[in-house]
Amino acid sequence: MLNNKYAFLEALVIAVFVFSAGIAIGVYFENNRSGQIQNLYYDYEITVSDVSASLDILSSSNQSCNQVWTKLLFLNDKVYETAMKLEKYDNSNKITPELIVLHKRYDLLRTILWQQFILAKKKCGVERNTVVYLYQYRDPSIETRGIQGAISNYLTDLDNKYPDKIVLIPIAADLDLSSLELMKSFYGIDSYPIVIVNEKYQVQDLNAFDSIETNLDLNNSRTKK
Amino acid sequence: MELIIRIYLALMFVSIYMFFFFIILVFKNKDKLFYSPVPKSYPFVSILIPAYNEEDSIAGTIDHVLNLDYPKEKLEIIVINDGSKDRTKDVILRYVKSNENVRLLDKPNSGKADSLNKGIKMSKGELIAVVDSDSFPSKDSLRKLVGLFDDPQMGAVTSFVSVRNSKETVLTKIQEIEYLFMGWARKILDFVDSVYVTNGPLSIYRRKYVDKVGGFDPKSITEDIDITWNMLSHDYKTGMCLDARVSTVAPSKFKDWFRQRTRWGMGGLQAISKYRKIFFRKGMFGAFVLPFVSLSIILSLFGFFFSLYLLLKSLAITFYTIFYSSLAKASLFHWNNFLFYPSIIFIYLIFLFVISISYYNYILTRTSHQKGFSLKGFFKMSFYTLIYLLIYPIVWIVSIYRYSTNDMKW
Repeated sequence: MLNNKYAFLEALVIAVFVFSAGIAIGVYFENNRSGQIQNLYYDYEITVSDVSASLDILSSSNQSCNQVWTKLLFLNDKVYETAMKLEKYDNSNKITPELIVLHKRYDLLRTILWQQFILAKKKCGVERNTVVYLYQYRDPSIETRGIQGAISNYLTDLDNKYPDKIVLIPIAADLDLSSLELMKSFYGIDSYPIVIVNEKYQVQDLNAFDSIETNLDLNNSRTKK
Repeated sequence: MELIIRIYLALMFVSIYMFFFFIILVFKNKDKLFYSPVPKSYPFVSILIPAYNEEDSIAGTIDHVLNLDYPKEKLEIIVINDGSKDRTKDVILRYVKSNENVRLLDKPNSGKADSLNKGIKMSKGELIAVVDSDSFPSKDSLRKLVGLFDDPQMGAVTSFVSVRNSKETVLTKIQEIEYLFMGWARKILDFVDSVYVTNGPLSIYRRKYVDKVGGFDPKSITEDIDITWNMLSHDYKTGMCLDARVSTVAPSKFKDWFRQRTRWGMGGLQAISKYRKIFFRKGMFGAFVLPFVSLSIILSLFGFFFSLYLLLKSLAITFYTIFYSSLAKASLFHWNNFLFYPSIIFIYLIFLFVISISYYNYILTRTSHQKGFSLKGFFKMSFYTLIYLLIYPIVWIVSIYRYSTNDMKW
């Protein structure tokens, strides 16, 4: 029995070791996932700066506009893909702190992208319809999560239907980004989730989502306005 | 980190601790798992068989008891008819007439604990064996148990119960495996003097200590738990022999099973409440048995409610997404809705589940229910464990509700 009583202590030592190892592996696993997203961010940041510089010196020749649009669209697709992954990682990360800072960076990137699309549309003419989706990131209620899921489904349908006509930019609206706050106040947005089509038309009511499609400029060609 | 995740991790740590505690005890005592000491002498044993409306099984029980490999001159059998309304008394009388070792105690119905107390008064044995009237001890079971009483501190010993009607339904098959684990766990706890239940199908008590602790408590719903805890709280030892086997008839219908388990659950809660002042005091009982039993209940309930919370939350979000998607005339699902990025907690849980099942498989192999590892056995075990983990917390919820509302009838 005396020999067996040590089992209490031995089990404690092993449990502490196994548990700590599990936590350490967990932290490594989660950090590794967010590290990958972080590395991609640095690549995108360079491209955004490059596009931004290009936009500043744009001579509005067709050649330059083509280059800018191609880069912008490519970047937007990549950021969209990575941000979606980030969203999923954010939901499954349980041990390490939430990925808010990384999320903020991506939302800032998407806000800059939105601004660049607006600028590019002005300088090079309408190439694509911008469909910006502002959603709630911090503690959405279960119902809000359902509504946001439905909007995501609708926008994915739309993107699949008009892959060459729209640019989809989802941005978390409540991460206190000054630039986004300015954009929101500029377009008179005070609540979300909301969809903004071509910076003109805003929809919040799910019953009115049909109207998004009718408000798209589907015959657009690059005509400088 | 969210509070719920912190609690979850804390309870997971406790589970890991208990798991390794059991594993260490198994490997430290692997040669003693089926040990049964040869008794120095054969003390006089009074076997009590309390029966209430057991006309179908009582004859089989008495036959098995008569067939026990134990000196006949050191044995008396007292069958207690607890006011049965069927032919139980007639069946007993048949045995009384043909066997001088068998006696009948016929009394009005007053419950098992009171019947046992009256049986003890009538008996003369140094050891009191209790056999349920629907249970069938193996020939050598008594002899294998009696040797444990060579330790003067030993107050009660119990046997390894198997399910007699295991092939009857899926439920009895599940119980067969469950009984196996229960027996195994009790044996492991025996290595730290913490056997906390001496089962009804076959257990033996030292009469002197039974008298000292005041006998079986008629107010207790589960007199077998109560007397064991009473013995432990008086610093008497309890033991278990895996090689002393007894088979019993397990409930084959869900309703009967649920009723039986609710009674066990309420009995457990009643015992925790009765001995609550001993928590973290009085040696192994207060320092380990009481916290262990209480924590097992908490773990089972927390696991259930945590899973239920996750499931309901996910269902509610899916419901709202579908509802609002149809409102927006959008597709109800997209492939990216089903992308699954497992959290480390989830991976940890799977890891624990797999090593637990492997451990269960080891138990099956050791108890000769299975020869070596089999994939079929592994999946069967996983299935039973999952079903069990899902259903058992409901038993606890009902037991807690009924106990707290004082609805103790069964």
